[in-house]
This record gives sequence, C-alpha cells and structure tokens, in this order.
Amino acid sequence: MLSGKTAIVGVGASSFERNPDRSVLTMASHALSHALTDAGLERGAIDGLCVQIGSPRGADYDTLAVTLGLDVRYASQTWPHGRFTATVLTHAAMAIASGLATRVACILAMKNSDLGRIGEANNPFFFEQFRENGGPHGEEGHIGMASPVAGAAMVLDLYCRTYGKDRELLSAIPLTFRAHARMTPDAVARNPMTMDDYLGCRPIIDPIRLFDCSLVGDGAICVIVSAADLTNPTQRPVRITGAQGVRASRESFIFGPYGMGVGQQSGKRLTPAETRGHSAYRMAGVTPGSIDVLGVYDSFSPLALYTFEDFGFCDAGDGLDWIQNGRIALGGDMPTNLNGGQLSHAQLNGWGQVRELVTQLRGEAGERQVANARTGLWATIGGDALVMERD
Amino acid sequence: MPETAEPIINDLNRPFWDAAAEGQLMLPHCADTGVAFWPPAPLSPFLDGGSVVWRPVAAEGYVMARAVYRRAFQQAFAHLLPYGIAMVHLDCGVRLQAHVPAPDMPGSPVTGSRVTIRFDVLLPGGRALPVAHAITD
Repeated sequence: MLSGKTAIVGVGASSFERNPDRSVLTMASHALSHALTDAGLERGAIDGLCVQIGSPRGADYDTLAVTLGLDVRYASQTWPHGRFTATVLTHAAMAIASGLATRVACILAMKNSDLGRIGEANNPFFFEQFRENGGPHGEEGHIGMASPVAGAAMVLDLYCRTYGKDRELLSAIPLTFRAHARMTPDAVARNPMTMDDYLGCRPIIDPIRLFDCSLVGDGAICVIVSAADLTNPTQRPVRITGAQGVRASRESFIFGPYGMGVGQQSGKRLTPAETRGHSAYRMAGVTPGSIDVLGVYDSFSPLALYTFEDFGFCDAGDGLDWIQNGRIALGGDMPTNLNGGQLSHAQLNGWGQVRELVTQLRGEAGERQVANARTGLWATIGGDALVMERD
Repeated sequence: MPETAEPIINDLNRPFWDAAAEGQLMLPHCADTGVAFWPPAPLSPFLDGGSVVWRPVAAEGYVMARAVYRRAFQQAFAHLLPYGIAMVHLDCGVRLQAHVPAPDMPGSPVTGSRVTIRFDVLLPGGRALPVAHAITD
C-alpha cells in the first residue's frame, strides 16, 4: 500500500506574471530552487523527476534535468493539459514506495502568454480539435466547436436543466475564490469582485462568462516528494495518505461529473455510497467529514461545483444550494481553494492548490489559515485525488 | 501552420462522411447487440471482438444541452457569430454534436427542442456538416 509511505517535504514556485520574454526553464529553475530550500535539501539528493507538461507549452524532462543540474534514475512525464496533477504526484509516490527513487522533484512549468488561446490557430494545440473521435475537451473543430470553454458551457447548461437550478447560484464559486485571493500575496487577481461585476462581465460561450474562466498565464511549481522514513521535522512533512489517479471511460468527461449524460455518458451519477467511498478516502481511512481543507480543480467555475458532488460533500444535483452562505469560504464548513484557485490565484493546472494545501497543513497560511487543519484533500472531477495529512 | 476546419477522414469514420455528403446519417452498430454507438470504433465497445456494421438511422432527437459562441476562436467560423453547438440525443440513443446557426433568432433550437440533423455546407467550399434544425409541428 502507498498510504503514508511518502511525504511532501518541499514546495516552491516562480512568480506568476504573464511575460513572454521569460523562459519556461527560468520559471522551473526558480520553483525547484525554492522547493529545495524549503525542504533543506541539496539538488544532489533528488533522484527522481516527474514532469506534467512538456514542450512546447512547458519543458520536457530531459531538458529540465540538463538545465537544472539534476541527475535522476527515475523520470516520467505526462501530456500537456491539466488533468494529471494528482497522477504525477502519485507516480512520484509509487516510484518511491517501490524503491525506484527516494526523493522526486515534481514539476509543473508552463508558459501561455506567448500562445493564443486553445482553439485559436496560433496555439500549438490548434489541431487537437480535429483529433480522431473528438478533441481532449469534447471539441469538434469542423462544426465550429473549438476551445475548452465550449465543453464546460455545454455541461453547465445540461446540469442546470437536469436539476432545475438557477445558473446564477454558481457565482458563489468565483466570488468566494476571489475573496480568498485577496488574502494571498502572490495571487494574480486580487481586486474585489462583486455580484454586479460577475453578472456584468462579458459572455464567452453561453452560459460561461469571463469570470467563470481561469486566468491563463505563466508560472512554475515544484513539489518534492520524499520517502517518509527520510524526512525530518524541520521539513514540516505532509504525508500522502490517499491517492487516486485520473480515471478514463465512457462515463468520464473532462468538464462534467462522472456519468452526467454528456457525450456517451450513461446519465447515472455516482451514488452517495460511491462518492463517500472514493478509493482515495478508503486508502487514507477517511471520509468527506474528515477533510479540514479542500483544493479543487477550477479552470472553469462549474468544475468546482461538480467536484463537491463527486467527492461526497453533497449529493448529486445539490451542489448549487450547498455552496451558498459561505460554506466553501474561510470560516465555513468546507473551506476550499484558500489561495484563490485557478480562477483568481493563477492557472497552474491545480498545482497552486496542492501548494496551498501543503501551506495550510503546515499551519503557515497567515491570515487565510484554516484553524487546526490536519487533513487536506486535492480532488477533481477527473476522479483523481490526494489525501494529505500533517504528521 | 495553415488554419483549417477540415475533419480528419479515414477508414474509421469514412462511412459517416460519405453518407453525410448524400444527406444521410449513418452510424456504426454493434453487429451482435444491434446497438448504435459513437464515436466510431473498429470493434464493438460493448462486446469483446464484436464486429461493426454501419446502418442509416433516423436523424431526429432532442437538444440535451446547448452552448452559444459569443467570441471567435476559429477564424473560419468568425463570420457566423453568434452560433451555437447542440448536444443532440438521437432517438437511437447516440449523442452527436451539431452546429446551430443563428441561435438568437426565434425558432432556433434551444435546450429541450426536438430537432432533426441535416447536413448543410457552412463554410465556402467546405463539406456538408451536421446542423441541428428545430422540428416545427
């Protein structure tokens, strides 16, 4: 079993400004250096490297090792979109637990400011919308369905129709996360957001508006995963006690809940017994009620909503009511994305939330600290998850 | 690289596009169970080793969900803004995505509408593409 065998001992980040002149390798270098300092490790102690995004949006594992002066005996890399955060960290934990490495640097480094939006011709992923049997976000470029926003819009329309809910209830997600970002010094969007701002912002693809979309930008995060028996108290280790990688089947869609009825999904949502018995919970021996602080994938605001349902915090279809009245805010029942998430902190494919969970579980989050946070969860509608616990 | 709006057509999906050019909707079916499925696959996704047959289906169903573009991502479609994309639940059980022209106009299909999928040429010199049209009583 993987549970408790590894711990996160260092996190580091670059700054997050949009700067086409800054190399993605510069950002990765800053993130790694900060993570090593945080962990009190020399770079020679790193013998594994797990990379989420390669070239041309990021940098590949071989270039990273050469440029950053790493010498590793285990390297892996996933594809250039945002759904492999927990999977990358799980690969690191698996490599360590099986003896292939002892300390693994996990890196997300990407630059978007020199690219067009996904779906546009000057983005290197333009041709993915014509991928055989549909693009990675449900795109079908030949009928004009390009860009991830469209898939998110389609599911939100289906969700509100299925459950008979007012779409504007969704505002609790971007407004709450913006309020959290205002307490986060390195958040990209720290100006206030009011309900009027949200209602009045420009439509992108109905029913998704500008403020439902994350802030595409540049940045890097490094998370160092270590064998638990090699950690020391000065590292303030946060153990990985539960994990699941991303799932894939006809029941999965990148921007919708499991079984929602999008594309070829059956329309059979997960039952409360299934969501509350998620394999990451079972591995860690916890339930949704055990979670003190939550980080969810929110490249578009509805994705957070579905995650609350698919991980058993509320039942299928109840999410828009459940998130009201401060439920997901600092001081609420289930404080979520305390740094502002991808919607307001920075679009780092969720790695910003993993970093924030480590900061929270170490008790180092300052004015946005969740009191007595001992157990944290990273979760996405892809089903991938990490349960993290303070020693 | 040059911008395109052309789908990739090959042995896996050619029956769909050949039929579309004739104005007909053809879908792959599991030969053993008779169930239509999408996207196309070389073997039935329902049965180990199950063979596949292509058959015409009724191009009618209803709009399960709709998204409306207010911003152009592809320049080829910019002149059609605003336009919609509908997820159509066909009566045979398969869901297909289809283009929705002029979604703000009265009579345009909305979520819940009964629709028929026709194959219309949307772009100059382009091929016939699935387009959802409201069925009026």
